[in-house]
Amino acid sequence: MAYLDTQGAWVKSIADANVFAESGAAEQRLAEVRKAESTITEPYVFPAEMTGGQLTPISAREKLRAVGPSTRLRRPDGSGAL
Amino acid sequence: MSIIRNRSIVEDDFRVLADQDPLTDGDVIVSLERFREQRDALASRQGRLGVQVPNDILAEDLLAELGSVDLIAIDFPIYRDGRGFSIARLLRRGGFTGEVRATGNVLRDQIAFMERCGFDAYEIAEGKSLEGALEGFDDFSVTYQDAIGPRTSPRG
Amino acid sequence: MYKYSEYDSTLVRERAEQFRDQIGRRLSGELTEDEFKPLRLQNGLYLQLHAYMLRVAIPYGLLAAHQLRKLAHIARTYDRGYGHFTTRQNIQFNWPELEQVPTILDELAEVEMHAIQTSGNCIRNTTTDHLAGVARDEIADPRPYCEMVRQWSTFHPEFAFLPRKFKIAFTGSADSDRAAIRLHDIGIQLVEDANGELGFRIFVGGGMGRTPKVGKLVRDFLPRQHLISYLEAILRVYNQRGRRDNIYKARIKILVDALGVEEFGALVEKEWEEIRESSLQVTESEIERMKSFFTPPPYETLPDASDDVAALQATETPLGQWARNNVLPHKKDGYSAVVLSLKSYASPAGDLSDKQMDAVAELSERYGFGELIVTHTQDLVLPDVRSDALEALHAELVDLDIATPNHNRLTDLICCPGLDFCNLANARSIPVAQEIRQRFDDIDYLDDLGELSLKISGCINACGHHHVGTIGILGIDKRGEEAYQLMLGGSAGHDASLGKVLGQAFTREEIVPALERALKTYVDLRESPEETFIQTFRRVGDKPFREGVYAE
Repeated sequence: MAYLDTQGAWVKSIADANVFAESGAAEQRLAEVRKAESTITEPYVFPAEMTGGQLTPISAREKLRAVGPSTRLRRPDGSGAL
Repeated sequence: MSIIRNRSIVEDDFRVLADQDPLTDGDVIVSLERFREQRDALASRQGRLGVQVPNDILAEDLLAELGSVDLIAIDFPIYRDGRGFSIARLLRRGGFTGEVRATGNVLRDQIAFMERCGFDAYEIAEGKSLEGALEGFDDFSVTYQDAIGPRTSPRG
Repeated sequence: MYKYSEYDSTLVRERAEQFRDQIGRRLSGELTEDEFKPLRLQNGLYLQLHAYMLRVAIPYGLLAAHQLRKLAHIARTYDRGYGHFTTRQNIQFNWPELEQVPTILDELAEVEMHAIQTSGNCIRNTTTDHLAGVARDEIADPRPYCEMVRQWSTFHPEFAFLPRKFKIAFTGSADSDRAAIRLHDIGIQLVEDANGELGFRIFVGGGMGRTPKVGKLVRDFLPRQHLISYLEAILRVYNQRGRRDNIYKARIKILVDALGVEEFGALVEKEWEEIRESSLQVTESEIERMKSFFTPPPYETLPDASDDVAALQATETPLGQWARNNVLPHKKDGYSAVVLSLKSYASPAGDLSDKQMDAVAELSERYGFGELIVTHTQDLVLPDVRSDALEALHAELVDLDIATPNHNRLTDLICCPGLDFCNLANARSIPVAQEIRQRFDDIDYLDDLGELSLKISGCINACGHHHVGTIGILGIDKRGEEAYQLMLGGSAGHDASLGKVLGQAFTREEIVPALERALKTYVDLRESPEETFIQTFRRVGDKPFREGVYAE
């Protein structure tokens, strides 16, 4: 799971992601990426907003994708964090 | 065009005759529609006759119509549409002894299964290597279904 | 259990090699993702919200101790230290790296395990009753027939690209169907005819998801030698006639519905006529050979201990509660089957850490014969525990945090991974399950509520089986927000029924209080504490429950 940054590199953190002001430019970039890439599967664009200085996805799914599962990732035997 | 037949790469000796092309002698493959419209004319030529069929026809209907042609080519519109496997099986069970050819989106990863269903020739999907496809036959040296009981072999 | 022959091992090894090659061709770009997808799915490799997910097959839920140890090792070495047991008796790893998957498959092959056909539009794991072989109400052990179907369906050359996935389940019990066969594409019940001959009753077209259906009877009695040929006929009819234009209308249940079960059955019989006398016939010697892999273990001759177990169950201690709920009767005198509840509220239902897996493997050897079973309700079963060892076992389970005494109680719930993990989900399910387990952790209250199945799905694909829960919760997307529907009255057994949505959906904050009101309504309306939730619901209907849940 990765985000495309302004240099065209794939990064882990949404904070470094390339943001487009409007979807037309984003879709265009997506088309370029689709043509060029063979190792990134199924890239797509999604809407996000700036809240309190942080780039935050709008949908619940993308929020979870950005930060990871909301369930406390603990080992089932209680022996600490995953 | 090169095809795979009987596990070798060979030049296709059949020529596809488009619906609008004039009838000729020689080994040709025509669409099912054309076969239905010009059955007698096709039969009275010199040369072998093959028919390209879509995969949404039931094999029992095909057997009734095409029992005596030399080749049936079964289309795979996308690789994951597996109706052709059953059609081939049923054609063989119904006694068809001509060539059964897989056309369309044929991947090397399906080829071993196709052979066991009765196909003996393959047009590989565009852009894919034929040599690579040949390797697909050897992916498995054993099969479960043989263990339970001998399966209907490719040629019935 | 079934022992791999040279044959089976070769097959699994070659499959791992084939997949290694396919991954290589994907990474080199020779295969596009579109072409790679059906291939990786047929090897059980999904692409999920955060990572790949590998689903490993556990045929009919039966695991040997050394296999569980290998799964622990894989969880530890290639994943994040845990695995997830599924509603089809398989196990999933949520975080493998693509490049390591071939190595994982090689390791699995060492213990006769694999990920073959755990995904994709092919015949999936054949599942069965988690008490197969030990249940008192069993007519016969279904597992030899499950193994037969497993072999027939693995790499079946004709049925690798079906319209959609295909699931088969067996039950050997007359009284209760613990395998939910009527919710499968083909459900098979072992039955005896008037002469005591064993055969099969066949149901077809059951399933959940967007269009849930209870399977329809297509053949009342199938003589056992025709098992494989009849299944082949069903699959052939489906492969040819199943819809291919719409993945939501591609399951066999849609075809059976469209044709009607009579016409569908007639098509099957017509095809079957052509092949029933062929080499697909199952010989008696083949049946005997299959049975030979499932002979009873070397049980000791023990006196009947049911009085002792009853005495234990009557005590008002955690041990007693656990004995009441999680200890099940066994065919053999002096033995019990024990349910290990993977439903502690610390972690998602069905999860087990590598350390716990190693410990359970060891327990299965000391308190049994080195085998255990994965249920389809995300628990494990130790099938052959000496009844005089129950107390000692319980103490060890407490230390491992797998002694929750809630089998068949409210908090023995099924929960899919949901939006936290799954690409398809609309809402999170795990936090709802966790809240429920934390809120309702009083075992006396749970016992008073009695037999109850709660099933939670994060979307309409119903991997949590919400349609057949006594109480079902379905996560939906309501204008971009997570919301939850409450359904009542489902059942997965011989009396299979689909739950009905009670009313308007609830928010995340509202759903658990709504559940609580449904439970209170049941307690208020029941004729006696012995009347179960489903019995009350069927007696009074949904109206009183709607009033109770939605009253302001």
